[in-house]
Amino acid sequence: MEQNPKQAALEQAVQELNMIIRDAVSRPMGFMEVCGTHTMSIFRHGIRSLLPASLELVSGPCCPVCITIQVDIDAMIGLSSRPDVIVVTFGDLLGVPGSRTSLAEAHANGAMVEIVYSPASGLKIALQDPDKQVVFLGAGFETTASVVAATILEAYAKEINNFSVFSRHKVMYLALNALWGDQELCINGLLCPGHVSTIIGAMAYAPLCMAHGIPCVIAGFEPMDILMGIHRLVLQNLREVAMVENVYERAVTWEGNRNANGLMETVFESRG
Amino acid sequence: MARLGYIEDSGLAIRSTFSHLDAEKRFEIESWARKGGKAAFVVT
Repeated sequence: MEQNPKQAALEQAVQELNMIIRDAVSRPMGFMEVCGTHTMSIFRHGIRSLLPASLELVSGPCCPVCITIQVDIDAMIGLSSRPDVIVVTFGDLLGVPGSRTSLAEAHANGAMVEIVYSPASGLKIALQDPDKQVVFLGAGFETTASVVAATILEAYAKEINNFSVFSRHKVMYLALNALWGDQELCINGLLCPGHVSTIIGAMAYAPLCMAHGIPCVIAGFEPMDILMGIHRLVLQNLREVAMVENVYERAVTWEGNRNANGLMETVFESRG
Repeated sequence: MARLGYIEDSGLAIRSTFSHLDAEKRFEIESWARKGGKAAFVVT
């Protein structure tokens, strides 16, 4: 069967980039892919098998499931056990274990847990069932927090008073900054997530980069994006510089999404 | 517990303007941070 020319060109580019990375890595290096979506893409496309043995990729903590601590899951399960409450959540929280059970088990045992693809669906449920308190479980970073902020503002404007949000959202920069305080961490650069960066912008990583001398490269989730990001991290290490680079310019700007950041600023404040 | 601490400090709380839309306040959920580091959540 004849190969798609675009596919052939991509495969050739991936091979060439991989050769560049292999040639460039003259000493052991370790990079952390911050985001679970990067981790999944790296495994799906077999990217680790393309890299030299001296280059280690470490999976980071930054997916909504990873950063939601057990006591928060327990609180979510506690909410779902109330007869007057409908808990509304994205599906990824369902299987996360609390100290004794999970939301999925609670749901199987009769708790009212609705899976949605948008927090705005929680508003619809609240309007359809005014005798129930509808609680949206807010987990994740700015990508989700900005949408939840818009939903809270909509509920506020429409005076939907049987809707609320249990906010366990996190700030990417603060989480990474705290992570860098871990003495056991031995990483030579961060492969920064594309989707969160569309909201917070490339500039959000500048304080982290400057304070700790960490090379930061923002990359998309296609194999070529990831390899390009890794290549830039290798080059920064070889040149002994630390800067913020963006190889996902088709989606991420330096400033980020000002409207989304404005919504978050209006609705949320830092716990730190 | 140190890891719990830094993740908790990275969190976003809903501003008081919207407190009636904040489940933490509506259901009086006692956070880990307010309990001085004890992993104690109480949904009243």
